[in-house]
Amino acid sequence: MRTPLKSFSIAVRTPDGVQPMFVSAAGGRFAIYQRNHVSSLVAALARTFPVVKRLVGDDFFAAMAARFVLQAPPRSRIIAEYGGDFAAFVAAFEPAETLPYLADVARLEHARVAAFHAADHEGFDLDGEGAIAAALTRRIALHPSATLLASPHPVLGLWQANQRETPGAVARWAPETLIIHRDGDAIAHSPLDDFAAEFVTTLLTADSLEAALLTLAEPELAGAALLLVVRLVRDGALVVAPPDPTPEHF
Amino acid sequence: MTAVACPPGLPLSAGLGLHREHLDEVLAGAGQVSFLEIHAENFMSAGGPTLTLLDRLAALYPISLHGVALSLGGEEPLDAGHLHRLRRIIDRIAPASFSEHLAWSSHDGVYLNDLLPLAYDQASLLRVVEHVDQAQSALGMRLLLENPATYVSHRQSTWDEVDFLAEIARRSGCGLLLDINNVLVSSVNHGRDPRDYLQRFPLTLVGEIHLAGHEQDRDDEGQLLLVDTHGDAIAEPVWRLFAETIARSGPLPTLIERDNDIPSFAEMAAELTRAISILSQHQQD
Repeated sequence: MRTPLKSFSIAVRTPDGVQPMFVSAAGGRFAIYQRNHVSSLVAALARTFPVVKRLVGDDFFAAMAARFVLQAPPRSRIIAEYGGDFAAFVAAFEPAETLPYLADVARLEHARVAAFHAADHEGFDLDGEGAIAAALTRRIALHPSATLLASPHPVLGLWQANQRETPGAVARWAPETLIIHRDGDAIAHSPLDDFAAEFVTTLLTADSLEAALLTLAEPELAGAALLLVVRLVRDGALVVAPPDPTPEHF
Repeated sequence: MTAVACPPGLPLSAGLGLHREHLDEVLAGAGQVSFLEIHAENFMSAGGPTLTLLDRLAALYPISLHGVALSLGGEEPLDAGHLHRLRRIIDRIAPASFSEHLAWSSHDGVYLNDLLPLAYDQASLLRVVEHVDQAQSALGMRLLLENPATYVSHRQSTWDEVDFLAEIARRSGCGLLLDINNVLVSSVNHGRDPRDYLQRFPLTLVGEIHLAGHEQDRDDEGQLLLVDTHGDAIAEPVWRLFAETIARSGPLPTLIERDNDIPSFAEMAAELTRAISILSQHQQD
């Protein structure tokens, strides 16, 4: 059934559409609501995706973001959460196809905002041999704030080059994998080299740290892998999952 | 109506809406800020620095928790998840006041990110009273309901806005937040007299006053149109209406509100000082 507010809601989301019959407003005043809806959400996307905006320019960004707002309006009332699907939209947005890395830059930027607001995690530090030995039988997971991003583009290089007032050059044009996470109160990036990227990917689906170590082709790599895990846990990218609960009844 | 606890209320002086741009000054206790107003939706993070900041602010100032997304005027049931997130903040910092709007912002699961007008008729009245009652029960505290700034009206409205707000308050036990800028904006846009509106407003129910800026525009037919942008200094007519209101009510907690084109802290502090001076002229012993 078309209730009054349903009609109102549809009209707000239809720019240049007619205003609902039951609203009295001469002088095109209903359009204020249509403009507010799009412009406030475009502004919210601009706050989350400043580098995407910089890479395409203000006008292009405004047009692309407006298209996204009308196609995928927020489902959450927390505006900081808006834009989770923006990267996928950008990837499929034909006018932007000359910038194939744009969607991954959007993924990185959204991961940064998500990291900032994510839940805390009571740490289980891997300091000392005892702690490492105890962790061997545990599962290792991403910290609640962390996103693993594997890109065929230099996604972090592009982001960093656009933090300066005058965009710098990307140091090395090569695929990049990184974890975006919170370290204390700050947002951190932990880049992973080829070995680290492959091991972390295995680790996140393995039943335990030990099981992941056993998949290494050369046993002498286990030391390097352990050091990597210790570092990523210390920096807040990974966490040692709590032990599986012991069944109370047999 | 469900009996709910009445929060302690805000100090009878002037407060400031929180902005990231003024964080250093606010944390250093600069200016004559008697309370801080924060937007609840900005502090709904699951963890991290946002919540640490919330704790620090609440340790320094009485907090006015101001919601913008509860959609009390909506046709759909209140969002239980949103109420839960609000309750988490309330339990964490025990705010001196919680306020929301006579407006709606969600429909069919879509959040429109705006405060939209509802019809002032019997069906809306019953719905809003039920929603306010539910919210107050879920949050464990009385809320203040804010008068809206509107650009259009619903043809099926049968109630006057002041009477409508007063009746919601009478039936639900909620208090009211009087936004004097919204009174002026809506009055000009709908050809009403803001003084008449304010004279009929039940001031004894007012737990907080909002003062903000607006923009003057013309609609497509050349008619004067005021837009509630919160992006400008408080206009002189708003100051005059504020002084006249305070002369009748005595001092009330008064917020300097600004959401766009955030100026320097000093500029906000000057507006704060002006509000304090008007409040102190009508100090009741």
